Amino acid sequence: MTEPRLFHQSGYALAFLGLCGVVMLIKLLPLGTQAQGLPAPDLVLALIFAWMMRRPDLLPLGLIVLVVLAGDLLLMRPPGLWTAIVVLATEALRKRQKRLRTLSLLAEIGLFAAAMSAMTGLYWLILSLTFADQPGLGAQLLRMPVTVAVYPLAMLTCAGPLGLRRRAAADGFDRGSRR
Amino acid sequence: MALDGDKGTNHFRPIRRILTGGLVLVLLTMFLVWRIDSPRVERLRTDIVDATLPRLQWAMAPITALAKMAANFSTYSALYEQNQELRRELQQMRGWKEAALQLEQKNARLLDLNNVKLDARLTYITGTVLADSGSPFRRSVLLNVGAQDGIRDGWAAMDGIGLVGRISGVGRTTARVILLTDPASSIPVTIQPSGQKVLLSGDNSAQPRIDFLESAELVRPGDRVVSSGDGGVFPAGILIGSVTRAPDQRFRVLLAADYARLEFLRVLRYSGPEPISDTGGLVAPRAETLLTPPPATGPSND
Repeated sequence: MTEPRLFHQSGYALAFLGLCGVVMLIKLLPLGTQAQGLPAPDLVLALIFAWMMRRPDLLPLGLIVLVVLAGDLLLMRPPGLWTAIVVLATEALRKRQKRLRTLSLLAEIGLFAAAMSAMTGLYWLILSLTFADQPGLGAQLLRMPVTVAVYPLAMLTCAGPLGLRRRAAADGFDRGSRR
Repeated sequence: MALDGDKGTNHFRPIRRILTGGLVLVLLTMFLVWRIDSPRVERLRTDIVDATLPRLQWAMAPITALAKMAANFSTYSALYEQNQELRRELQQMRGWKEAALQLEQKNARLLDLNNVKLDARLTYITGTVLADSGSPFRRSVLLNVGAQDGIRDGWAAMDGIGLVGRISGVGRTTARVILLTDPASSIPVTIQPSGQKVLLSGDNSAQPRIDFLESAELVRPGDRVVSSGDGGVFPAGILIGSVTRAPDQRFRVLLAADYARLEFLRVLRYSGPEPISDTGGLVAPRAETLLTPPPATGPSND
């Protein structure tokens, strides 16, 4: 690991932490104390997914755990469960990163929607099995379309100012440098 | 280099898998510990919130202020109509005020006649709202008063007009208020003219539900809802709101507190009603003396 590369990576890590921090801070602002119709989107999850689909190597597992666990604690979720589910989902993505490189944008959104539904379902299932107090499944699933609607925003953030792009499917540099 | 695709560097993959599995296990254990021993973990959470959020106040306060100013600015257009409406209301209120004054005097006279002793007024601590829950499924706010101000779990929090929620979770400098609209909130209330005791349970909508209503025909939309003081958690008689009928014909409560602008909340100091421990300790010996004539008076009768 050369020094410029380390610098590059830590820069991206700081950018990720900063973005997630801002999102969480805005969520915590005492503005939406009134109960409204639509639940707010899960921007942190959208950002993690969009980032993961592009450059998984710039988003180490530790950062994800840090951010989501902080969210668990600050946003009054049961601590640990959602983090565990997010870790499982992102690791599954990481394992399939080569196949994900050829994904079209629409398919990426579809994948995100499916993954978030599955994650919400699993979350609901575990909370039900442990008889924990939780909102209904319908209300939680309603969060999925709202988050999918803002997912392009996360994609734009990743691709635009952050400059995270997928590597081409057959990247000569990778193959050469491995051996 | 771990730059490449699905395969990764071959000798790192098993280790990575073990590490990930271990991490997931740790997280799930954390969840289970929370499930088994919730209060302890919640206290840890309160401590973390207590340590972080007040420090971020410098960043949050200006944004909050700006957003509120923007919201207020958008209402300037409706200001004229509002002004007219307020004038009309003020006129009506003058009439009411007159009636209220007369009633107050009458009430004072009657109380004087009866020699009634009233409760001492509740004292309160006022706190500023620091943050809300941030989750779409939880309704709570964080106040900037905590254990060092003597706040205790279970105390009632209200804005100027009506009940807002109850304290649940106290840190050293912060306290969390579970709002009445939170799904976990459930408090005993009385519907006023009919005096029916019901439970007010939040369900994440703006108007909490009325549960365990015995006779629905005695309740009309517009009835006052006040806290009943059952269970000794809340002081009785705090205004909560008025009954409305939801589109699905169920009764709900229109909250009197202005949930759109929760800025300052009063936390009522209340230690519960004093327990009455002995059952008539004064009565028993006296009954004895009445039944058995005292020996001193016995001989004098002869």
